[in-house]
Amino acid sequence: MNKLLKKTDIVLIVLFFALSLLPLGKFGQPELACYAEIRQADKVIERIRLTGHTGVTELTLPYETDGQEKHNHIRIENEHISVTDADCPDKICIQTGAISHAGEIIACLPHKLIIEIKSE
Amino acid sequence: MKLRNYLHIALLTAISLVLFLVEGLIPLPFIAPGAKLGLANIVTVCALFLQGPRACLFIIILRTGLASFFGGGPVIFLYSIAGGLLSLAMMTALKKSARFSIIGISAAGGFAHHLGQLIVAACAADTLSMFRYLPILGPCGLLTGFIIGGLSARILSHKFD
Repeated sequence: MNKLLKKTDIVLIVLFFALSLLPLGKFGQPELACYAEIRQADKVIERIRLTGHTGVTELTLPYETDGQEKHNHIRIENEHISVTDADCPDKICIQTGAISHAGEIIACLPHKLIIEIKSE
Repeated sequence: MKLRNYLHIALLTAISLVLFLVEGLIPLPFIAPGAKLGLANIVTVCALFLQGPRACLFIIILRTGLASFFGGGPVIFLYSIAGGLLSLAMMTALKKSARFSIIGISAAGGFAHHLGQLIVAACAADTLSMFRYLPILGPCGLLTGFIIGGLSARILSHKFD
């Protein structure tokens, strides 16, 4: 405890750093045609094909909680999908921004909403 | 537990909650969902060394509960508490081994915090794709944990009775 940073600490940090990079190997595959799957409370609500999508498609998903009507506003512009507006408490779904690659995900956990891009 | 211990837990929880709320006021760039400074964890790390894992467990549960009351909600509580508990388990185990310094323990704790959150998020969303965020969140946790560890070491270098 006397020394501030020991050799074992550096080994530990490098080890965890390597561990963090593990998922890169699994998710770094080449891409096939993609579609966005929108799920709410474990039910698939929409499947939208992203590959070849042009123009803008917008949709608003309602979410009922404690008798209040909440919503997430979803925008698909060309091959990118994003949540542009939501009244969830943390707004993480909006801040995640637009996604377009297979395996990417936008999650709005307060509204139990998951948008995941899957390849065919 | 003695009254003294209860008082320590109450005070440390209060400090931790204030740090949590203050951190919310600091504008930071959005890196990845869940990535944050974790100032409140200075208290967690210090409490682990001053009071031991039992008191630390109380502080984490109380702070996370109160924090989600102030903003967040039940879902966010669930994944904060998972991160907090996994982080505490990791830090307690590393501290017991007596091979690591505060900084190393804290960095590993930061990593475990994000890992715990991702495990819950992956279960909630029912997809392993959540772990795509690990290459970003893992190093973030290590870095913030490293900083928190350095700060805690400074605090702990003072004498407490």
